[in-house]
Amino acid sequence: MKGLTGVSVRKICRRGLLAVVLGLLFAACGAGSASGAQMAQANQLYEAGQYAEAVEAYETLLATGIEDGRLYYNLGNAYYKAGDLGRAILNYRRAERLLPRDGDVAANLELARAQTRDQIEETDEGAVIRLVRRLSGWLTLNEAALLALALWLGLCGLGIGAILRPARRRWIAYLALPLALLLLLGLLVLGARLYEERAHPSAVLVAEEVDVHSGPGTDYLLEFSLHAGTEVRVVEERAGWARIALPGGLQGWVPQAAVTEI
Amino acid sequence: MTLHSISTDLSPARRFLVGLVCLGLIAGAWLSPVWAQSQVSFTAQVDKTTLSSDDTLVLTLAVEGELTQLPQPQLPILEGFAVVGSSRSTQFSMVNGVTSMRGEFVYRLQPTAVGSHTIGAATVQIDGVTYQTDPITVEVVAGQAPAQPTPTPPGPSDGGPGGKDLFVEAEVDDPSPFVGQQIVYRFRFYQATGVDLLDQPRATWPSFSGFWAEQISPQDQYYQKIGQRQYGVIEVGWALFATAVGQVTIEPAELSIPASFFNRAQQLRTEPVVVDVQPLPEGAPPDFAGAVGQYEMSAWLEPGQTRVNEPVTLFVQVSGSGNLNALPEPDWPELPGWRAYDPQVTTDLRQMDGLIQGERLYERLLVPREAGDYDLAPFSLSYYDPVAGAYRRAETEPLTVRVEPGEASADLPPPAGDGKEDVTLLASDIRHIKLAPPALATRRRSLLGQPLYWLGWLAPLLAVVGTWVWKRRRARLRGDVAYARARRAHRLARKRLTQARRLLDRSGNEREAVYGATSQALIGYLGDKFNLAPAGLTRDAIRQNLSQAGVDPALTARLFDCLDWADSGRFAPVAAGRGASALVDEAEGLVADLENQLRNRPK
Repeated sequence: MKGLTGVSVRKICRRGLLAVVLGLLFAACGAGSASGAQMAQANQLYEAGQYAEAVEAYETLLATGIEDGRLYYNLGNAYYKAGDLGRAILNYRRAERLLPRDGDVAANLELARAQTRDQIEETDEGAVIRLVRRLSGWLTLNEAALLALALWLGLCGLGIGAILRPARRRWIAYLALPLALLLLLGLLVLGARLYEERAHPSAVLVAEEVDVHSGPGTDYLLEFSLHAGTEVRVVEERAGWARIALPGGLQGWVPQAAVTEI
Repeated sequence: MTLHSISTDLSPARRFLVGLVCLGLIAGAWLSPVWAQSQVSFTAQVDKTTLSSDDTLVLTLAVEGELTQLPQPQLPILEGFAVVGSSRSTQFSMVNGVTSMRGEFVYRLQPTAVGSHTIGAATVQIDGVTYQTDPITVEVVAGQAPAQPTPTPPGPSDGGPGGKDLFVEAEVDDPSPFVGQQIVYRFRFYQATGVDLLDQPRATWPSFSGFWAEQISPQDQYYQKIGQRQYGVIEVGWALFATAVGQVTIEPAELSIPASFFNRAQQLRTEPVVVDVQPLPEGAPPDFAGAVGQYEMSAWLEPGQTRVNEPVTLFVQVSGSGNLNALPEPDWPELPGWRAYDPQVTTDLRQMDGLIQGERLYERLLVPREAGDYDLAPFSLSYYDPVAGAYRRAETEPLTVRVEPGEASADLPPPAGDGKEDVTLLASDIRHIKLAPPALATRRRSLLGQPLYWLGWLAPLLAVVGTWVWKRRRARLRGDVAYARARRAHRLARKRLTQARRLLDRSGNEREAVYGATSQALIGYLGDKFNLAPAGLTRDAIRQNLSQAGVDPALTARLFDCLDWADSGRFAPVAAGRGASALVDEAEGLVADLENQLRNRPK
């Protein structure tokens, strides 16, 4: 009698949560309209070697509210062929955010990066940060969010099991410990991604050559110059100027038009 | 130093004695000059008493003693000898605290006449005292044939007695060779016998620009007499092949002689050598590619026959004298259906009578793809023979090779590298664009911005908390009857009162039952609340329990009033006056107030 009550309550909980998760998934997978045909046209321009026209066609499509990793990838290719390394890298980065496990995107991004002019020193990071960074580079933000939620559901399910079946608490604890660790890691990844995207958004220099000043204006001291394709972080924005930070610790102000956030 | 270290091992008394002895020694040294004066020795010595007329004699005068400065000895008049060199050295030594000096004067004497000569006494004056040596008799015998006048090197033109100790020269054997013809450049270092060098001289060779140069090793060493002097000669040869027509100057070779006992450091250099390179004569055959020398050529295959996919090696060998390293590569025949690998070339050179000779061997791995008999055209090499003064041609015999059909050569390893080639990256480009999908994804909001997502986080948490509360309550309900009765009391009382109110709609006796039901509801409620049987609820028990529970006495009085009202109604309905409906209302109000006060009571 008591057992029956416990099982039914658990089932109801589980079904409810399943419905929530499935609902979220379907909401996330909204599909565009006849945009595929437009993209095919732009692809034809690309294949005919008319890269500038292809860029225009892809950009038009993006302006209609489409956000597709494949489109960003093709746009990056078109920019690359048209000789605009900065915007090529920008669009590969955007594509990477949507298709984090796509080999083509990664290969082209690497090739484009190898051709940038500025040599930026990589700062040495700890093992945990590197792991988090790698994991976060392997999942989209939404995937990371869903993964964390799924881990949380599992953990809560185990919690309910522990309440209803005190005799099995030991086994449940063995299961819960790795789940909790994974959840912690997932939350770290999520937090790192959110922090990066919200607090210090990544950006790419799109201008051919940019002078970096010590303040928001050309009157300030010219500290160094950067070139198209260099990836920076935008720390602050003020009246048409953006304060950028480089991995090595260099900072400075550039005209806002010279950088584009990813 | 030594004394000191010994004295540490000695007893104090002995140490004192040793000290005394030391003092004595030092005093002795101080007072010794007079004693030492008489100890000067002056001797003369020759390295040999019999020598040939083309040899030199070394005369050493040694003066030794407690001297403060080296005296200059006086040589006697030497008959039959000429002094060709001299040097001196000084040496100090300390024996028993006495400093003595040894000076050596070395004279190099060249005999000028054959016969017995006496070197007279040499003298030296020290502090007014004249010392002299004993005379020495030396026998000079006639030497080898007098030095041949050729080649007369430019260096020792003032040769003979008093000629240079060291000099160098350079020459070529043919100052006007054909282009590509071998000439020999010889560098000679002359070192007069008896002149010793402490260190190896260092040579700086000319760059030989305009020539293909090949050093001839080993170096040649021999003796030569120039004028009256005997020289040790070191000869270094270079085989040179002129690469262009015209006058070419070979810059001087240099030799650095380090400073030594007898000599200062010096820099010797040869004269520059001018070579006039002649063009090859007219009439070169059409396949002539510049080879000069004398050559022979041979070619063979190993093994002589093979199977499909089994390799054979084609050897082509050129041997002879000339610049083998610069020979043109043989004209490899076209072999359709064969796979040919790049040839490996080995060159083996040696030098014979100043001529560079040797073999050059080409090895080429060939793999037949089809069976059949194949003829290989003969290899040939046209060259100019400078000795004969004519163009010649070396040719090999034609070769044939039979290729048998191959059996399934599964157990044979394929020749190295066969069949597969490394993928060579010619250029790297971006990967191609992706195909357009039927529909593209639209911009979507991040999950993190959707309330439903956060509900997904909250819901399981609520589920856990809910489960926990429910489980706890159920456990309490199951384990505590009093608690259960008390919790249910209010609900039951209201249920009973509702039932009582329904009786009001009836008539007669049934309507009078309202009073009993109301009374039961009240008593039942109190029984549930205090976990007592209704029968045990006397007025006293009720009063006591209620006051213990902290219920307002006024409310208790109201309760008893209401119970009285119900009892009077039950037993004398007419006298009840106030009506059954009002009683039920009052009872409901009472239960609500009691519940209020009892629930909030302190436990």
